[in-house]
Amino acid sequence: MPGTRFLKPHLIMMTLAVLLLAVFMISLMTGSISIFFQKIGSSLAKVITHWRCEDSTDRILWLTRLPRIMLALLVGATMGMTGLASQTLFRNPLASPYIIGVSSGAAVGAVLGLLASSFIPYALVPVLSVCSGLMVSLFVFILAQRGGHFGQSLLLAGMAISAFCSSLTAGALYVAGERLQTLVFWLMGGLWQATWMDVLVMLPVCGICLIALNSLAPAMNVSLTGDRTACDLGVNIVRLQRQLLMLIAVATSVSVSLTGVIGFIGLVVPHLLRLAMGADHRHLMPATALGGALLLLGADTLARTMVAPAEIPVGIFTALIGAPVFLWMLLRHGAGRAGQ
Amino acid sequence: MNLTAEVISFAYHLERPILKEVSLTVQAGVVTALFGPNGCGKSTLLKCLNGALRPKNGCVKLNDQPVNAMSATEVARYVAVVPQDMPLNIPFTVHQMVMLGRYAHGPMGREESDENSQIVGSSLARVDAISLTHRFFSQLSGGERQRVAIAMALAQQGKVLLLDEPASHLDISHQLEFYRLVRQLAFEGQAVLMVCHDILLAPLFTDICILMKEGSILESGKAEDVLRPASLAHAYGCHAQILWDQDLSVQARFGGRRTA
Repeated sequence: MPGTRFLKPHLIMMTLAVLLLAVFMISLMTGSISIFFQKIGSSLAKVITHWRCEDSTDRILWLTRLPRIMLALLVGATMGMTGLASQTLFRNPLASPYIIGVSSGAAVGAVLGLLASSFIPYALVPVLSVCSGLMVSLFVFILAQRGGHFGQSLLLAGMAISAFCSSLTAGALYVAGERLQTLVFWLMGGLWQATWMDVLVMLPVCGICLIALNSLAPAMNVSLTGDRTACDLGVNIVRLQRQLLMLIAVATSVSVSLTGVIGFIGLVVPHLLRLAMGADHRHLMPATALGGALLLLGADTLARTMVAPAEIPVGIFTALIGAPVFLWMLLRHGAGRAGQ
Repeated sequence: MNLTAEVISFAYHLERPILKEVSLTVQAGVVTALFGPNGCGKSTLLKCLNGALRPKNGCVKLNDQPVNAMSATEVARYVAVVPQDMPLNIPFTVHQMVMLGRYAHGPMGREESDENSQIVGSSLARVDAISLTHRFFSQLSGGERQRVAIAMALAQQGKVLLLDEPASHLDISHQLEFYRLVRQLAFEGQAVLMVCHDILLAPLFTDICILMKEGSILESGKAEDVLRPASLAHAYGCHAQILWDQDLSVQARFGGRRTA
């Protein structure tokens, strides 16, 4: 089998970090207007010393591009990590955070909120979205606990609820009328509305995921041996599953409410990195954070520069890259062997 | 360190009890073997013994502390279990697998330290599996997996070892080696309980045999007293007369004919 010798985890993480830095700089420089190093430097100095934006270059850099880049990094990292967490939780390499119905729940909330936007303030839409995402995942969780095998019931309940929510969303689209385009744009997912406020909301979510999931990494390793053996080895498996599920639900509903449903990052990144460096969560978790951030930032940069000044919704882009990569992995390694 | 079950009962469904008022002690320095027909509750008893299942009545105590009042990590520090089987698709190498046995020993046990690597190495050596160190667990044969599972339990360095049909996939030479290892562990002071189906070989290496049927313990004591033809017929419904000797010889005669 290919990959009996894995690449050194630290080498991979260094590579990812260097790539991330490069894409970060490129992303800051390119767009509807190109801004080069010197200009960025002088503008940065200006903004730091005077603490305000003076010309349009400053505004583009610090009020449009940088928050968008930061949001892409934070959301990408979060989706990568929660993707790995769901694959471990379900012991299924094809699982992703969206599978437990959080995203479709959050989408329903947002779509209904947008539909009712003449009655409620627009700022309430993300809040509504987070709430409905959390409610749906709570509901799925309660359903799953009544079933037999926790992981499997969770998967089935998640699929059923997702289907239900999707039909609600479709119904909302059907009656949307002139708001149809807003809804469709939102559903496709994108970062074009990113503000520093969004970054401030996402920062603690990403931080908590990073700390919590990394500290749970050894227990997640043990949990791959099966519920029974994990318990024998000293892991409180029920508590671990609850913790993972809660982190996934909160992080996913917040990121979906900020950026819409951006698929495939949580699925592809952990899977690819596992093939490259093995399944040890202690290395895999930080690497998926870097990888997720890199993929989303790269995709978003492409999405807004390829047909500039117009842009392609990044959700379309990640799926367009993600699906073939995923199929390639599936054919090359076989999901069962290469994954868990 | 002793592990004691005090009149425990267990049932998944109320109308079908699995364990009925079972009491037993797994003593330090003693190898105990648990026999009984399929579905008589042997594996369930093991799960109750390390607190994975909570008995409906009765209590399991590690020395004098109730197991159900301890956390899974605490129990795992003292009680190691070799399961009947593990999922096939575990994505770890053998080295990584055995390292997981160190989990219960706190943050120190979760690092790739020299001490942990040494414990993993010596555990693998004791089951003759050093050559498997860098293989993937998912690519091993049934017997190899079983030896790795035993090595994981050894790496836990507990005081009590519970084994669920540990020799079922092993070839005869590894079986003998395994039983000798178990004797050696008991000599080193471990308390060992193993669920067995091998009524010919296992009694040669055990101190106490326990015979179960339908959730109750029929008899316990020395092999020649417990596995008498009458009790074998009662428990398994088959006629067999077996004689074991201290010099590792065994004679068996089965009743009935060769064809059904």
